[in-house]
Formats: sequence, structure tokens, C-alpha cells
Amino acid sequence: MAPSAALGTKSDGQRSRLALIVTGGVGLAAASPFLRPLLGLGAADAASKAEDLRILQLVLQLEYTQVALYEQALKEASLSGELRDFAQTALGHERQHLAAVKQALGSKAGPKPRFEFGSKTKSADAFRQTAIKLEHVAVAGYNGQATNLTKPTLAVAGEIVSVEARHAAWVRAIAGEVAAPDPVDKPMTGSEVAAALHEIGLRAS
Amino acid sequence: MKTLLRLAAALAVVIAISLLWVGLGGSHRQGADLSSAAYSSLPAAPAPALRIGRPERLSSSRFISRWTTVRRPTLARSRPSASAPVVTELSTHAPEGTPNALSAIGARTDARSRVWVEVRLPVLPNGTRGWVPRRSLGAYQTLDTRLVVDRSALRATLYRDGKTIFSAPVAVGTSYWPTPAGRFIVRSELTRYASPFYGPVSFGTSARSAVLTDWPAGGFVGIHGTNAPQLVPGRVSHGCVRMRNSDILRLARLLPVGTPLLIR
Amino acid sequence: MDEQRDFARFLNAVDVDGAIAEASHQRRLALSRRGLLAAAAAGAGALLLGRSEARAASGLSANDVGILNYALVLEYLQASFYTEAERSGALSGKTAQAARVVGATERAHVKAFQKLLGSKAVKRPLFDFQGVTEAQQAFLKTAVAFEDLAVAAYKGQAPKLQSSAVLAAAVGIHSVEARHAAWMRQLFGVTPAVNAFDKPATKQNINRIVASTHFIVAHPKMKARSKPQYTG
Repeated sequence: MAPSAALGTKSDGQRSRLALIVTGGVGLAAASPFLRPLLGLGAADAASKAEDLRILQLVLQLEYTQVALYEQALKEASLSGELRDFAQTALGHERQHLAAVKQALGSKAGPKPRFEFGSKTKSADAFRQTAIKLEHVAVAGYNGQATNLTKPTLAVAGEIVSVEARHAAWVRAIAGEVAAPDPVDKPMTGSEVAAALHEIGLRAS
Repeated sequence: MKTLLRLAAALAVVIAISLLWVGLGGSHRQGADLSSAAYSSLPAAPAPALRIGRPERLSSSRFISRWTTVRRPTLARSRPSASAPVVTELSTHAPEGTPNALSAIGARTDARSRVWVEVRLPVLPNGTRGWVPRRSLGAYQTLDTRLVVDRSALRATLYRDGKTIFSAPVAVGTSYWPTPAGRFIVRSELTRYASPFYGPVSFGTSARSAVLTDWPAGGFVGIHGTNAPQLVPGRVSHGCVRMRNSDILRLARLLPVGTPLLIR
Repeated sequence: MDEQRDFARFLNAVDVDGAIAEASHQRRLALSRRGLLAAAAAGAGALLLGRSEARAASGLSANDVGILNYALVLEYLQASFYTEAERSGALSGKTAQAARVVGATERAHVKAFQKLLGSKAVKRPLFDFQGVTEAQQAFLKTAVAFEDLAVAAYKGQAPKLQSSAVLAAAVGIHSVEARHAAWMRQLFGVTPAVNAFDKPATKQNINRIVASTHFIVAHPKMKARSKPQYTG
């Protein structure tokens, strides 16, 4: 139900307040790409939207991890050249992803986790290998949930996963690896993603 | 008034979130449960409908050839340069009325980043090559077939990927009207014409008689059937390669137009 | 002249960050006008014009068959492009290496689509790449455009698929095309990932862009009924 429907319209003053509320609602939806499908009056039932949110919780952890890894590596891994370029660009993208997911979950969003990356962010080599792993997890993780998402949320997730795949290919190329070694990117389950994130350094807050 | 507006905006946010909250029946705050178990209820992806096989590298180029057609009338030049001498004009159609097929044997980019293609030219002397602008040519097609006519053995052999898939005796030109040697292309297939002399089907080539230069349509050599099979094999023709009708019909099922032709 | 403008527009349409235009040299590539209409007559264009199959192939809905065939044309385009570039011998170094790997992948994609669609698979069109497979810079510029296009195309169609098994396959391919896009961009010297969110493209837009390249052409008719005029 749209926020505006909760209020009646009577006077001019109330109408302008209503306009603001509607604008605010639209603005809110515009702020996160995920909110449009979740606020929308789509045909997807409540259970599917609930599953969307459960999946977004996992995505939240993934994006938190990516942001944290890139932030930490830029601070302490002595990155230079194209690898630094990559980390900075990817960080900018992951921050936008994180913001979108956070807003979609609103107050339901889990708190920011802790991270223990250890030596993974202490050198360029270690960071590079970890980034390769993490971007692979991102692609496989998103791909793994595609068939679980409602169509509107799938559309938005689709806009993100190809960017993660670009990151994955880019950092592999920087490392001198084949950027796209497989003809198809296989999926990972939610559990597998959670386990991989833990292995990389994600801890409960 | 400003305060009221700010309150209204805040209210909008709260209402939006609350509706989401209420609509989904959740009232507990979901903590950052990062255990795998928390996500084990999410279904695994179904088996994909498309099963991608192992990517394979291209086969060796040893038996691969490339041909194309003349898309626009153009000039063939002796070098890949707009200022090089003209060797011949090329039109879009062969005398048979079919698109003018040429073997493309190489390409080069000039100083102005234009692509030039080296092609075998259907002109005398046989074996002449020239360069044409890429934009004058049409789509490339690749083949792995090769037709060889051996004038001393009086035999025509078709190879595919280096293996023999057809062989038949042939009649070739007399010593006065010899079948020319060289590298050519099978450039057309003619059928359903009423001319027993040429048999049921004939193939046009880019090979030209060096002696019958005034022949209508340029004196091109064809590969065709015959109404005088008793002369096959033999050295009897005006340059054409003749085979028995049953053989040319068999060949027609196997020989794609565009196949390079070697006459030796 | 029109054709050169069309091709430039094609590159612009997928050049989200203007990088292709900036990094490239001026190229004059003439393109065939007959291409799309002839291809339509040959059947490949019919698919591009949006007419989907009435019957299902192996349990697939007509909707999904239509989307799969649409994707197959793009896979044919890419497979033929990389194959021709590799055979042309104009590529060197890391670009040549990438073309070999990506070409092999796209050929594998084509085989998989053909196998799934069976007799419902659209036939392979004939492509006239007009020299972009024969020079390294033109190749890279075009590869970037094709891969970005493929990503946007898959993204636009995925939510419309009815079968979740087909969707599962599509997302696995979509991300690989995105890897290809990043790879070719990196080789070309532009940023592999421009935005945080990649936008989808509609079928109409993709069709329009592909048509504007005039790369799809009719098969030339090499058989005729004329009377032979050979020397005999």
C-alpha cells in the first residue's frame, strides 16, 4: 500500500504535505533500486518477497565483505598501478551496491560485521589472490540465487552481478590469469557463500 | 511550516518501512547470523537447461581456405595502396550470372587503417593476383575442401580436411587448347540447362584458356558432364575438364562453390 | 557514407563511457545496405524482427524458445566474429590469446543452444564483418561493443524467462559475457567496469543496434540455370 493512501487529502495544506510524502516515498524508492520491487504492488506473494529479503541479507554480508576488503587493502597492502586502480574502482562500485542493499533492508539490515583478513590485506600479492576469490564468490553467489528471487529483484541483482563479473575478470587479468577461464559461471548455494565469506575473513559482529 | 514538512518527510520514511515490516510479518530483528545453516533453507539452483561442452580450439588452418564475393564494382591493384597500378576491373557478377566469387588469400592494413585483401584474379596470365579494398568485398566464407585436377594422370580428386572424398577420371584439353595449370576457384554451379554437351551439371571456374582468348564470355574453363563419355579419360577438349555424367552428379553432392581448384 | 554513420552510431550506442570513441582512431568502414532485409528473407532476420516460434522445443515454452533463439543469434555473431579474427591472423600477443579463449567459449555456447533447441534453432546467419576482424584495433573496439551488447541483451531477457532451468543457464552465461566485456576493455585500454550497475537493453534496442551494423547479410546464390559458355 503506498504511503499516500494511508492519508486522506482535504485542504491545500494537506495536499502539499501529501505531495511531499508521495515525493518522499518515491524518493525513498529511487534511493535504492531494490526498494522499487519490494514496495511495489507486484504479483509476487509475501513469501517470495520474504525470501528476497533473506537473500538480500546474504548479499548484504557479501557487499560488506567486498567493501571492507578493498578499504583495508587500500590502507595497508601498498597497492600501486593497475591493481590500485582496480581496488579503487571496485570499492566505489561495492559501496554503491552496499548502499542499495542496506536501504532495501532498512532497519532489518544486519549490523556491520567484523573482519579478520589477517595477511590477506597486507601485501599486493595476497590481496590480489583474495580479490580473485571474493569476486568469484560474488558472481557464483548472485548466480546461485537468481532462480530464488522474484523477477523485479532479479532484474536489479542482474545489474550488479555483471559488474562483479567485470571485477572478477579484471583482477584475474591483472594477475596474469585467464580472465574468463570457464564457458559458464557455476552457481554457489547460500550456505557455500556464507562459508566462503567466513573463510575470507567475515566474522559476526 | 518547515518543521511540519520535515516531520511529514520523516513520517513517509517510517510508514514505508513499517508497511514493509508489517506486510512481511517480521517482528524480530535479524542479527548478522553468518553461519551456513542460516542460509541452508535457500534452494539450490536447478540444473541448467543448457549444458555447455568443453570449449575447443580451432582446427589447424592447413586445409582451410577463404572465399568471398565482389560486393561493389572495384579495381584490383598490384599493391595494397590506392596509388598502385590497376591490374583489372572486377564486377559483381561472373559471366555465368552468379555473384563473382574470389579466393581471398591475405589481408593488409594500409597507413590510413584501411583493410586491403589479396585475391586471385580471373584474368590472364593465369595466377595473377591483386589487392582490393575490403569494403568492395562481401562476407568471407571458409571451406576445408580442395579440388585437384591432375592433367597427366587424367584424374580429378576432391579432398575434405586433407582426406580424399571423391575421385574420377577426366578428359582435359588437347595440346592446341590446353587446360591451363594453376590455382583457381570453383565459382559457380549451373544446372537445369538444356545442353547435353555439358551434361546435367557444370561448374564454372576462374581458369581461362590462354589460347581461346576471343571465346564468348572470356574463354573460361568449366568442369562438366558430357554426351561423349567414351572420350573420358582423354585429351580431347577445348580446355574444359569433362567427366562422365554419373561422376559429375556425384561430385555435385560433395563440392561446395568457393572450393579452391588446383590444376597441375 | 550512411553506413559509416550507422556503424559509428552502433559503437556509440554501447559506448557507455565514451571510452571507445576516445581511444579509437578514425575508421571508415563501409557497410552493406542489403544486409538486414536480405537476412530477413533468409530467415535470420525474422527472428530479429521478433516473431517467435509457435511450438515448443523439448518442453520449452514458445516464450522461452523465442528468447533462446534471440540469444543464439548473438552467440552466432560473437562466435563467427572471434573465429574469423583468429583465422585472419591479424591479432597478436594477449589479444590473440584472448580471442582464442573467448572464441572457443562462444562456439561452445552456440553448440549448447543448438543442442537444446534442436530443429527449432535459428540457422546460422552469414556475417560480413567488413574488416573489423582483420586489424587489431578495429577488432578490440568491436569486441568491446559486442560483449557489452551481449551483457545488456541477456540482462534484458533473463527476468522474462519462464523456465527456471533456462534462467539458471542464462545467468551463468550472462556473467561470462560480462567477463569477456571486461577482458576486451582491458586489452583495448579502457576501464573494464564503468558503472556500479550495468543496465539492461530491450530486444528492440538490441535488434536495432545489430541491424545498424549491417553485419548480417544474405547468403549469395552461387547456383544458376544459365547455359554454360565454357570453352568446352
